Amino acid sequence: MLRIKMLRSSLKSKQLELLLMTLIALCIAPLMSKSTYFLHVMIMIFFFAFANNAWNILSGYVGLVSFGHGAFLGLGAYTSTLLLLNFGVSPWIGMIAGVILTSIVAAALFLPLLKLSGHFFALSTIAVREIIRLVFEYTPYVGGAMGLTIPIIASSSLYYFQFSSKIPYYYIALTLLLVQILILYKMERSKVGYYFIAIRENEETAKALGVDVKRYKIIALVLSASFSAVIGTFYAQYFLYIHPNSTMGVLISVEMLLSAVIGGSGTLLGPVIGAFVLIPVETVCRVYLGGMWEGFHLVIYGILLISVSIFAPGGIYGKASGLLETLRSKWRKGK
Amino acid sequence: MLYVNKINVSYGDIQVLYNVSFKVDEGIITAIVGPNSAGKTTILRTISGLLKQRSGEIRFKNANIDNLPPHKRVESGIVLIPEGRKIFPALTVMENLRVGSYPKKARSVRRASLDEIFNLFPILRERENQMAGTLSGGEQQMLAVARGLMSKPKLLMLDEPSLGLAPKLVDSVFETVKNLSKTGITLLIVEEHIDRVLEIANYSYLLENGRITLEGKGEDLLNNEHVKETYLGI
Repeated sequence: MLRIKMLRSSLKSKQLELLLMTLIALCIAPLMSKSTYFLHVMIMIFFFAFANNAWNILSGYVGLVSFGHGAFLGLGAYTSTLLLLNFGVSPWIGMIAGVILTSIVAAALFLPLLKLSGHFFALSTIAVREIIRLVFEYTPYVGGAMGLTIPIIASSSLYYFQFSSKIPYYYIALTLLLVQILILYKMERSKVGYYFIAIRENEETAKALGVDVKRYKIIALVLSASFSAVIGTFYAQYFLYIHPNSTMGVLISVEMLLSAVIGGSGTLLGPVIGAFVLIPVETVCRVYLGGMWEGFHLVIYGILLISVSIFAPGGIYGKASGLLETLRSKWRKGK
Repeated sequence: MLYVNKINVSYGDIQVLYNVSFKVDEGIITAIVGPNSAGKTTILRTISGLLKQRSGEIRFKNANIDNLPPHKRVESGIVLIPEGRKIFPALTVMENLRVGSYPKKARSVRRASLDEIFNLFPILRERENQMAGTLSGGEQQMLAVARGLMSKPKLLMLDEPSLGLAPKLVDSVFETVKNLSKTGITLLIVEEHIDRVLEIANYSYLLENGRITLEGKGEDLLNNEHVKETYLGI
């Protein structure tokens, strides 16, 4: 018994060590390599890890699979961009405004969908997202189908969230991701997190145990939408160009769930691991196969998705922790 | 403690319960027995608020609870252990217990409840950090009951606690139910194992085709000709 406890605590401290080392490596990486290409890949990994974590709250933990999260990301991007373009508001303040506006829209338009479940919920999210996208595409005030371009206001300004170098974007994305992971870590081990999982595993039982299912679904929806809006603002300031299709389209909505599904949905680290696997694949494909084989990374994504569904339904993280658990119990029996 | 007065319940167009009335007295074991598809589970689901009756009234501790949503009913002390155990397999044993421990009154006494529960089910302490899905059937049933107890119920409703368990484990389940009753919890239990449950129940109702057809003390029902012939095969 004591030895098991010691093993467990040593495993915990090993995990902590590993985590700290990864963190230090990530913090000093930009100092080691000045390659903008490398930095861009890392920024995209952080971006998608964050976006997939956002999706994961509603769809991974609570189990309401959404293909509509592009709408939330896009609303965040558009809110901060329009405030910046029309009133010169700092994108950081725009980010907060985006979170508030997106939460309201999510509550108003997606709330009725929470009555649906399974495939029906998933399908209805596509419809609502498409409506929002079309509204933006046909409204000239918000740039219509042309999208919005953010002019270079300052060469490097934290206030305007614009930098000529990629290094500040790197640290901003990393900080956003770390803060998010910390919040989700706290969430996972609290009443809210347990209730989310209880609802996913069995809604009726959750109700019978005193979970106000409707309320917790709304909490998940708003949390999920808010995080998506935050990363939407980052998207706008990083690319300096937004467009209904690129920020609210079907592709971004699917990309917001791919890393999570492949890495392990409903887990804290699954989406992050997924992003670290998928994004390099995409960039490598784009660089080496770009001209002739455009979109080849989507083929690899497809293959990965099918393989994960067949061989590791819990995602990479689920498979790995499953293996670890078997090893541990074998060790316990062998003792 | 609980009064159910002439409730009619339907799933869509199909009526399942017809004018069902019964009461559960405080501190004893009340059983509802009957064959498959008589509507036993429906009764429990209606009491816990998962289903709404079309007509009739349910009173708990002298208050009408018809308009309370399920989670409010849990807070007032009504807890259902659903049929087929329904533990959360992806959570550990401890986390499963935590899920049950958040209603307002239960939260402050969580530590004490845990100690009580581990006394009652020592095996759960051993399995504390194990995924609940890896437990055996009997252990899962214990966990389901323990999880319900974490929310400090006044009325604990058990739906087919012996379902799918080996005969030996069925014994221990009924033993547990008896022990629970001694701690002062009021129990309402629904079973198909008629003879076994009638032995431990203080008062019982027979439900057939959605209607209460017989009621009485456990032994009275056991000695009833109709029960003997139809359900016990004697």
